[in-house]
Amino acid sequence: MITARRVVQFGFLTLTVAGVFLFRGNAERWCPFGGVEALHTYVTEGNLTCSLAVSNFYILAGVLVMTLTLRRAFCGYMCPIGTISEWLQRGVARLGVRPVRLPYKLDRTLSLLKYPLVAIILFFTYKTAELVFRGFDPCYALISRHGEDITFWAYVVSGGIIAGSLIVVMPFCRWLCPLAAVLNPFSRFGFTRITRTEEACVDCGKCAVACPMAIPVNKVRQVTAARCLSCLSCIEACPAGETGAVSWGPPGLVGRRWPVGILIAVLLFCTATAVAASYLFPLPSFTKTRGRKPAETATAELAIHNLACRGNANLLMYYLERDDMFEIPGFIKLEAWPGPGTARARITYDPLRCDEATIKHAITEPYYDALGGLWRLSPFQIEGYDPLGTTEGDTTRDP
Amino acid sequence: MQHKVVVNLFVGCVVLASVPALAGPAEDAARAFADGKALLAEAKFDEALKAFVTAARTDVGNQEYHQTFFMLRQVVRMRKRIQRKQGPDQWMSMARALRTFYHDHRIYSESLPLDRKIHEQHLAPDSAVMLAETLLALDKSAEAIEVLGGLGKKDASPRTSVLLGLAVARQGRIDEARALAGKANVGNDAGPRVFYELARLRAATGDSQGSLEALTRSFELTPPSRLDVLRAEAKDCTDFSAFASSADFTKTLKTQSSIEESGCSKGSTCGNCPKRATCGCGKE
Ligand code: SF4
Repeated sequence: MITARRVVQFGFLTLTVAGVFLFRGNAERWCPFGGVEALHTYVTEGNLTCSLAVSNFYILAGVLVMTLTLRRAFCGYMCPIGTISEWLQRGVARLGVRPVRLPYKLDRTLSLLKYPLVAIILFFTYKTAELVFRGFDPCYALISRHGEDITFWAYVVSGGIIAGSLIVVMPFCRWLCPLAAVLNPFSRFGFTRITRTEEACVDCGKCAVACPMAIPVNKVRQVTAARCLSCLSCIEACPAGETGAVSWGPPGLVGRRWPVGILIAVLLFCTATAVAASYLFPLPSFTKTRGRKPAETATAELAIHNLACRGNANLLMYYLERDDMFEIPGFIKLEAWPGPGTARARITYDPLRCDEATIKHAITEPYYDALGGLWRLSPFQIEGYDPLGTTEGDTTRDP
Repeated sequence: MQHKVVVNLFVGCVVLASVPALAGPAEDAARAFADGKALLAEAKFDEALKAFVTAARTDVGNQEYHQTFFMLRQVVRMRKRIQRKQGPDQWMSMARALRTFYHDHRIYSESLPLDRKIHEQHLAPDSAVMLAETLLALDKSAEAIEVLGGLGKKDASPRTSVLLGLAVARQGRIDEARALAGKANVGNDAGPRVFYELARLRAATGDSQGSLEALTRSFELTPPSRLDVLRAEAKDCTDFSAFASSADFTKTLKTQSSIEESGCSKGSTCGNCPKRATCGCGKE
C-alpha cells in the first residue's frame, strides 16, 4: 500500500514539474489555496487576480470533497511540498539519521501556528484583493519558475522547509501550512478513518512511531485527528500487516477494512472531476455589471486580443463605459475570461439602444483621458473585426 | 568554375531583384505615413487622414500606423462634432481633447481659437495659462502678457509668473523678465512643465546655466513614457538656440526620469495605470 502511495506522489510531483518546467504552464491556476485566496474578491467584486482562474475554485471544491471523504489525503498524496518534504526526510533516514521527535505537547502547540498565519494571509489578501504574500510563498517560487514578484524570503522559507525536513518529519505540513489550516475543520469530519482493534493489538507502538503526523495511533481506538493524511503508514508498520490491529475504512458502515485502491480511486476521481469541470463549465473570471437589466437583452461574444489579465479586463470595462462620442448607451454587463493571446469576452447589451458595431467601436477607438490630460490608444483588437473597414469611402464618417 | 560564377551571379541578381519587390509595400506605407505627418503639421487633417489610412492599409501589421490613423480619425470627427450645437460640458471635454492633440502635434494655430473660447468661458488661471502657452508658441507675446496680466494677485502662481516672464523677455524687456524669473518662486514640488518653462525663461534672459539646471529637473520629473516627446520639444525650442549646440545641452537632453511610471498592482488598480495597456501582466 505504501508503494501505491509513492507511485501517486511521484505521479503528481512529475506532473507538477513537467507542467511547470516542460510545458511552462500556469500551475498557480491549479492550487487549491489559490481558490481560498480568490474567493472573497470573486464574491464581492466578481473578478480574480491575474494569475488565478476559476479552476482554482473547482480544484478547491475537489480537494474539500476529497478531505470530507479521505481526510488530508491531498497533503499525503498530491501536494508537491508534502512529497518533497517527506522524501527528503526518508532520504536522510536511509543514511541513518533518525528524525527528531518533539514532545507531544510542544508539537501540538507548534501546530497551532498555522491558524494565525492563515488568518493574517487571508485578512490582507481579502483587504487588498491582491496575493500580497505570494512573494514569500515557497510553493509559488517553484510553480512560477521564480516568478517576477518572488522575494528573497521565499527562498529563506524554502531553505527552512528543506533544512527542517531533514530533522523533523514534514514540519511545514504539520505546523505552518495555511492550506492545512483550511482543510483541518473538514478533515475532522472525514468519512474514512484509521481504526485500531484493541483485541488484536500487541501494543508494540510501531504504528505511532511510523505516523508522520505524530498521531499516537497506539493510544486511540479511532484516529479522529484532523491532521491524518490517510497515508496508511501505521497499517504498514503494524507487525500483523493489513490483517492486523490497524485498518482503514468507513467505520460502522460497509465494513471498515477497505482496500487502498478505493482511496486512490476516490482521490483521482475528485481531481479528474475538478479538472474536467473547470474546462466544461468555465465561469467567467471577471464580471462587471452596469445599470439595470432591461426586458430584452442581447449578447456579443468577442475574441479580444490583449485581454491578458484582470488589469486589462478593468481597462476593457473602462472602454465599455466611456462617455465620449463612442459611448455605448445600452451596455449592461461584461463577462470575461482573461488569458494570454486572444481571450473570450461576453458583452450583454440592450438591443434597443445599441448594437454590436457600437460595442466594437467603443473597444477599439482611442479615448481622451481628461484626468491625465492624455490621449490613450486602445490596446484591444477584436478577432474578425477590421476597424479600417469602417472607413471605406468617407474616412471621417461618424460610426 | 565559370559555370559556378554564372550560377552565383544569377542567384545574386534574383535576390537583388526581389528585394525591392519585398520591401515595396513597407516602403510605400512608410512614405504615406511620412506624408501624413507632414500634412498634419500643416493642419491638413483630411489629407493627412487619407495618407494615414493608406499607410495602415498598405502595411497591415504596423500598429503605429493603425493607431495614428485611429486617433486622427477621431480628431477629425471631433472637429466636425464640436461645430454642432451641444451642452457646455460636452463641448468642453471635446475642446480639451482637441487642444491636447494640437499641442502634442504642435499645431498651435488650430489650438488658438479653442483656447480663446475656453478662456472666455472660464476666465480661470488654468485657462489663462493654456491660452498664454499657445500665444507664446505662436509668438504672440504681447497678447500673452495681456492675458496673464489680467489675472488677479490671488490667481498668480509660479507657472503664471514664469510664462509672464517669458512673454516679457520676448518683448525685449530682459531685466523685467529676469526679475520675474527671480520672483517666480518655483519650489521643488512644481511639476515638470513649470520647470521646462522656467528653463525657457532663464534661457531667454541669458542664464544658460540656470536654464540647463531647470531643464534637467524637468526631465527628471517627467514620466519615462513622456520623456521622448519633451526631449523633441526641447531640441526644437528656439529659446534654447543660444546653447543648443553645446555639449552641456546635449548632456542635459540625455537626463533620465527619476520618477517611477507606477508599479504594477497586478490588477487591482489598473484603471489609472499609464502602463496598463502594455504591461501584459498575467501573460504566460
Ligand atoms: S494515523 Fe496512520 S494514516 Fe493517519 S497520518 Fe498517521 S500513519 Fe498516516
